[in-house]
Amino acid sequence: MSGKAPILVADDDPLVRELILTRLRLAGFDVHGARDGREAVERARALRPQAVVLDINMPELDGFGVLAALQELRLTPATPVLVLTARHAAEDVRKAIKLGAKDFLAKPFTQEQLMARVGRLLRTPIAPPPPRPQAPQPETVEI
Amino acid sequence: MSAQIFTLDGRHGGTVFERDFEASLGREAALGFVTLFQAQLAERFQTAEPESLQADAHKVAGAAGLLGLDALGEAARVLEEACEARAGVARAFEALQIEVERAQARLAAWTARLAAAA
Repeated sequence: MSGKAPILVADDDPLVRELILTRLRLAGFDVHGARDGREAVERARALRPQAVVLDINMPELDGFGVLAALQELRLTPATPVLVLTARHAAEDVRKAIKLGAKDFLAKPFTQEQLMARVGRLLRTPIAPPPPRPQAPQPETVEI
Repeated sequence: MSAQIFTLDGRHGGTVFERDFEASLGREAALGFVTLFQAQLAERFQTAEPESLQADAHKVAGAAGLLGLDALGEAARVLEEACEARAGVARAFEALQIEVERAQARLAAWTARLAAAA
Protein backbone atom coordinates (compact mmCIF):
# COMPACT_ATOMS: atom_id res chain seq x y z
CA MET A 1 0.00 0.00 0.00
CA SER A 2 3.04 2.27 0.04
CA GLY A 3 2.86 5.41 -2.06
CA LYS A 4 -0.84 5.82 -1.41
CA ALA A 5 -2.33 8.64 0.61
CA PRO A 6 -2.93 7.85 4.26
CA ILE A 7 -6.15 6.86 5.99
CA LEU A 8 -7.40 9.20 8.71
CA VAL A 9 -9.19 7.73 11.74
CA ALA A 10 -11.06 10.21 13.94
CA ASP A 11 -12.51 8.92 17.21
CA ASP A 12 -12.21 10.42 20.68
CA ASP A 13 -12.18 6.98 22.33
CA PRO A 14 -8.49 6.00 22.48
CA LEU A 15 -9.25 2.29 22.47
CA VAL A 16 -11.44 2.39 19.37
CA ARG A 17 -9.10 4.82 17.58
CA GLU A 18 -5.89 2.92 18.35
CA LEU A 19 -7.41 -0.46 17.60
CA ILE A 20 -8.57 0.69 14.16
CA LEU A 21 -5.20 2.34 13.52
CA THR A 22 -3.31 -0.80 14.57
CA ARG A 23 -5.38 -3.12 12.38
CA LEU A 24 -5.01 -0.85 9.34
CA ARG A 25 -1.29 -0.38 10.00
CA LEU A 26 -0.81 -4.15 10.16
CA ALA A 27 -2.68 -4.41 6.85
CA GLY A 28 -0.03 -2.14 5.32
CA PHE A 29 -1.75 1.23 5.31
CA ASP A 30 -0.24 4.56 6.31
CA VAL A 31 -2.60 5.72 9.06
CA HIS A 32 -3.11 8.83 11.16
CA GLY A 33 -5.39 9.41 14.13
CA ALA A 34 -7.37 12.41 15.36
CA ARG A 35 -8.76 12.75 18.88
CA ASP A 36 -11.55 15.20 18.14
CA GLY A 37 -13.33 16.90 15.27
CA ARG A 38 -11.08 19.94 15.07
CA GLU A 39 -7.96 17.80 14.91
CA ALA A 40 -9.67 15.66 12.25
CA VAL A 41 -10.25 18.70 10.02
CA GLU A 42 -6.68 19.96 10.50
CA ARG A 43 -5.23 16.56 9.69
CA ALA A 44 -7.50 16.08 6.68
CA ARG A 45 -6.45 19.48 5.34
CA ALA A 46 -2.75 18.61 5.72
CA LEU A 47 -2.80 14.94 4.74
CA ARG A 48 -5.39 14.82 1.93
CA PRO A 49 -6.22 11.25 3.00
CA GLN A 50 -7.45 8.52 0.66
CA ALA A 51 -10.25 7.70 3.13
CA VAL A 52 -11.60 8.80 6.51
CA VAL A 53 -13.12 6.74 9.32
CA LEU A 54 -15.14 9.22 11.35
CA ASP A 55 -16.97 8.92 14.65
CA ILE A 56 -20.05 11.13 14.86
CA ASN A 57 -20.08 11.72 18.60
CA MET A 58 -16.86 13.67 19.28
CA PRO A 59 -15.93 16.72 21.38
CA GLU A 60 -14.91 20.12 20.01
CA LEU A 61 -16.52 19.49 16.63
CA ASP A 62 -18.79 16.50 16.00
CA GLY A 63 -18.69 14.26 12.94
CA PHE A 64 -21.32 16.35 11.14
CA GLY A 65 -19.16 19.44 11.58
CA VAL A 66 -16.19 17.51 10.22
CA LEU A 67 -18.20 16.39 7.18
CA ALA A 68 -19.27 19.99 6.51
CA ALA A 69 -15.64 21.10 6.76
CA LEU A 70 -14.51 18.33 4.38
CA GLN A 71 -17.06 19.58 1.87
CA GLU A 72 -15.76 23.13 2.23
CA LEU A 73 -12.24 21.83 1.68
CA ARG A 74 -13.55 20.02 -1.40
CA LEU A 75 -12.17 16.74 -0.08
CA THR A 76 -15.55 15.02 -0.39
CA PRO A 77 -16.99 13.34 -2.37
CA ALA A 78 -13.63 12.25 -3.84
CA THR A 79 -12.40 11.14 -0.40
CA PRO A 80 -14.74 8.42 0.89
CA VAL A 81 -15.85 8.77 4.50
CA LEU A 82 -17.12 5.93 6.70
CA VAL A 83 -19.07 7.25 9.69
CA LEU A 84 -19.45 5.37 12.96
CA THR A 85 -22.90 5.87 14.48
CA ALA A 86 -25.13 4.61 17.24
CA ARG A 87 -27.44 1.84 16.07
CA HIS A 88 -30.93 2.90 14.96
CA ALA A 89 -29.69 6.47 14.51
CA ALA A 90 -31.38 6.66 11.12
CA GLU A 91 -31.59 10.44 11.21
CA ASP A 92 -27.84 10.67 11.89
CA VAL A 93 -27.14 8.40 8.93
CA ARG A 94 -29.35 10.46 6.61
CA LYS A 95 -27.68 13.66 7.77
CA ALA A 96 -24.19 12.20 7.36
CA ILE A 97 -24.91 10.92 3.85
CA LYS A 98 -26.34 14.32 2.93
CA LEU A 99 -23.10 15.89 4.18
CA GLY A 100 -21.00 13.65 1.97
CA ALA A 101 -20.42 10.43 3.92
CA LYS A 102 -20.10 7.36 1.71
CA ASP A 103 -21.04 4.62 4.18
CA PHE A 104 -21.86 4.08 7.84
CA LEU A 105 -21.29 1.42 10.49
CA ALA A 106 -23.46 1.16 13.59
CA LYS A 107 -22.01 0.47 17.02
CA PRO A 108 -21.39 -2.04 18.46
CA PHE A 109 -19.32 -3.58 15.67
CA THR A 110 -16.53 -6.12 15.46
CA GLN A 111 -13.03 -5.67 14.03
CA GLU A 112 -13.98 -7.87 11.08
CA GLN A 113 -17.08 -5.82 10.27
CA LEU A 114 -15.06 -2.64 10.43
CA MET A 115 -12.26 -3.95 8.23
CA ALA A 116 -14.80 -5.23 5.70
CA ARG A 117 -16.42 -1.79 5.51
CA VAL A 118 -13.10 0.01 5.20
CA GLY A 119 -12.09 -2.44 2.48
CA ARG A 120 -15.33 -1.73 0.65
CA LEU A 121 -14.70 1.99 1.02
CA LEU A 122 -11.26 1.61 -0.56
CA ARG A 123 -12.47 -1.03 -3.02
CA THR A 124 -9.61 -3.15 -1.69
CA PRO A 125 -10.32 -6.21 0.47
CA ILE A 126 -8.30 -5.97 3.67
CA ALA A 127 -6.70 -9.30 4.40
CA PRO A 128 -6.22 -10.37 8.01
CA PRO A 129 -2.69 -9.59 9.21
CA PRO A 130 -0.15 -12.40 8.85
CA PRO A 131 0.19 -14.67 11.90
CA ARG A 132 2.47 -13.08 14.47
CA PRO A 133 5.04 -15.04 16.42
CA GLN A 134 3.59 -16.33 19.66
CA ALA A 135 5.12 -18.06 22.63
CA PRO A 136 4.78 -21.85 22.37
CA GLN A 137 1.32 -22.94 23.48
CA PRO A 138 0.49 -26.16 25.29
CA GLU A 139 -1.72 -28.55 23.37
CA THR A 140 -5.27 -27.25 23.46
CA VAL A 141 -8.80 -28.55 23.13
CA GLU A 142 -11.54 -26.28 21.83
CA ILE A 143 -14.89 -26.69 23.62
CA MET B 1 -20.01 -16.11 23.17
CA SER B 2 -16.79 -17.37 21.66
CA ALA B 3 -15.87 -21.04 22.19
CA GLN B 4 -13.65 -21.77 25.16
CA ILE B 5 -10.22 -23.33 24.79
CA PHE B 6 -8.82 -25.60 27.48
CA THR B 7 -5.34 -27.02 27.62
CA LEU B 8 -5.05 -30.81 27.86
CA ASP B 9 -3.99 -30.46 31.49
CA GLY B 10 -7.30 -28.71 32.22
CA ARG B 11 -6.14 -25.07 32.35
CA HIS B 12 -8.27 -22.40 30.70
CA GLY B 13 -6.62 -21.12 27.55
CA GLY B 14 -8.99 -18.26 26.74
CA THR B 15 -11.63 -18.16 24.02
CA VAL B 16 -11.31 -18.52 20.28
CA PHE B 17 -12.02 -14.79 19.98
CA GLU B 18 -9.21 -13.98 22.44
CA ARG B 19 -6.76 -16.18 20.57
CA ASP B 20 -7.73 -14.60 17.23
CA PHE B 21 -7.48 -11.11 18.73
CA GLU B 22 -4.00 -11.85 20.08
CA ALA B 23 -2.91 -13.43 16.80
CA SER B 24 -4.09 -10.45 14.76
CA LEU B 25 -2.50 -7.75 16.92
CA GLY B 26 0.33 -9.48 18.76
CA ARG B 27 0.18 -10.41 22.42
CA GLU B 28 1.75 -7.21 23.74
CA ALA B 29 -0.66 -4.93 21.85
CA ALA B 30 -3.58 -7.16 22.83
CA LEU B 31 -2.65 -6.84 26.49
CA GLY B 32 -2.46 -3.06 26.09
CA PHE B 33 -5.94 -2.84 24.56
CA VAL B 34 -7.53 -5.18 27.10
CA THR B 35 -5.93 -3.30 30.00
CA LEU B 36 -7.07 0.03 28.55
CA PHE B 37 -10.65 -1.18 28.25
CA GLN B 38 -10.55 -2.54 31.81
CA ALA B 39 -9.51 0.89 33.05
CA GLN B 40 -12.16 2.64 30.95
CA LEU B 41 -14.89 0.29 32.16
CA ALA B 42 -13.93 0.84 35.80
CA GLU B 43 -14.47 4.59 35.35
CA ARG B 44 -17.84 4.34 33.56
CA PHE B 45 -21.34 4.33 35.07
CA GLN B 46 -20.38 6.05 38.32
CA THR B 47 -23.66 8.00 38.51
CA ALA B 48 -27.23 7.05 37.64
CA GLU B 49 -27.90 10.38 35.96
CA PRO B 50 -29.35 9.70 32.46
CA GLU B 51 -27.10 12.10 30.49
CA SER B 52 -23.98 10.61 32.04
CA LEU B 53 -25.27 7.05 31.62
CA GLN B 54 -26.11 7.70 27.99
CA ALA B 55 -22.64 9.06 27.24
CA ASP B 56 -20.95 6.15 29.01
CA ALA B 57 -23.23 3.61 27.33
CA HIS B 58 -22.41 5.10 23.92
CA LYS B 59 -18.68 4.71 24.57
CA VAL B 60 -18.97 1.16 25.89
CA ALA B 61 -21.25 0.11 23.03
CA GLY B 62 -18.61 1.34 20.62
CA ALA B 63 -15.68 -0.47 22.17
CA ALA B 64 -17.11 -3.70 23.64
CA GLY B 65 -17.73 -5.44 20.32
CA LEU B 66 -14.13 -4.83 19.29
CA LEU B 67 -13.04 -6.91 22.29
CA GLY B 68 -15.56 -9.68 21.73
CA LEU B 69 -17.77 -8.54 24.61
CA ASP B 70 -20.95 -8.75 22.57
CA ALA B 71 -23.40 -9.07 25.48
CA LEU B 72 -21.90 -6.01 27.15
CA GLY B 73 -22.06 -4.06 23.91
CA GLU B 74 -25.70 -5.01 23.41
CA ALA B 75 -26.61 -4.11 27.02
CA ALA B 76 -24.88 -0.75 26.58
CA ARG B 77 -26.76 -0.13 23.35
CA VAL B 78 -30.09 -0.91 25.06
CA LEU B 79 -29.20 1.46 27.92
CA GLU B 80 -28.20 4.20 25.49
CA GLU B 81 -31.54 3.92 23.73
CA ALA B 82 -33.44 3.82 27.04
CA CYS B 83 -31.67 7.01 28.15
CA GLU B 84 -32.49 8.64 24.83
CA ALA B 85 -36.17 7.69 25.18
CA ARG B 86 -36.20 8.40 28.94
CA ALA B 87 -37.99 5.09 29.41
CA GLY B 88 -36.86 1.84 31.03
CA VAL B 89 -33.57 3.33 32.18
CA ALA B 90 -33.49 1.62 35.60
CA ARG B 91 -34.13 -1.83 34.14
CA ALA B 92 -31.59 -1.34 31.35
CA PHE B 93 -29.02 -0.07 33.86
CA GLU B 94 -29.53 -3.14 36.08
CA ALA B 95 -29.05 -5.44 33.10
CA LEU B 96 -25.95 -3.55 32.08
CA GLN B 97 -24.42 -3.79 35.56
CA ILE B 98 -24.68 -7.58 35.38
CA GLU B 99 -22.89 -7.57 32.03
CA VAL B 100 -20.24 -5.18 33.35
CA GLU B 101 -19.47 -7.61 36.18
CA ARG B 102 -19.25 -10.52 33.74
CA ALA B 103 -17.04 -8.51 31.40
CA GLN B 104 -14.74 -7.44 34.23
CA ALA B 105 -14.30 -11.06 35.31
CA ARG B 106 -13.54 -12.12 31.74
CA LEU B 107 -11.12 -9.23 31.20
CA ALA B 108 -9.33 -10.03 34.48
CA ALA B 109 -8.87 -13.66 33.41
CA TRP B 110 -7.72 -12.55 29.97
CA THR B 111 -5.13 -10.07 31.26
CA ALA B 112 -3.87 -12.61 33.81
CA ARG B 113 -3.36 -15.19 31.06
CA LEU B 114 -1.65 -12.66 28.79
CA ALA B 115 0.59 -11.41 31.59
CA ALA B 116 1.53 -14.98 32.55
CA ALA B 117 2.48 -15.75 28.95
CA ALA B 118 4.61 -12.60 28.60
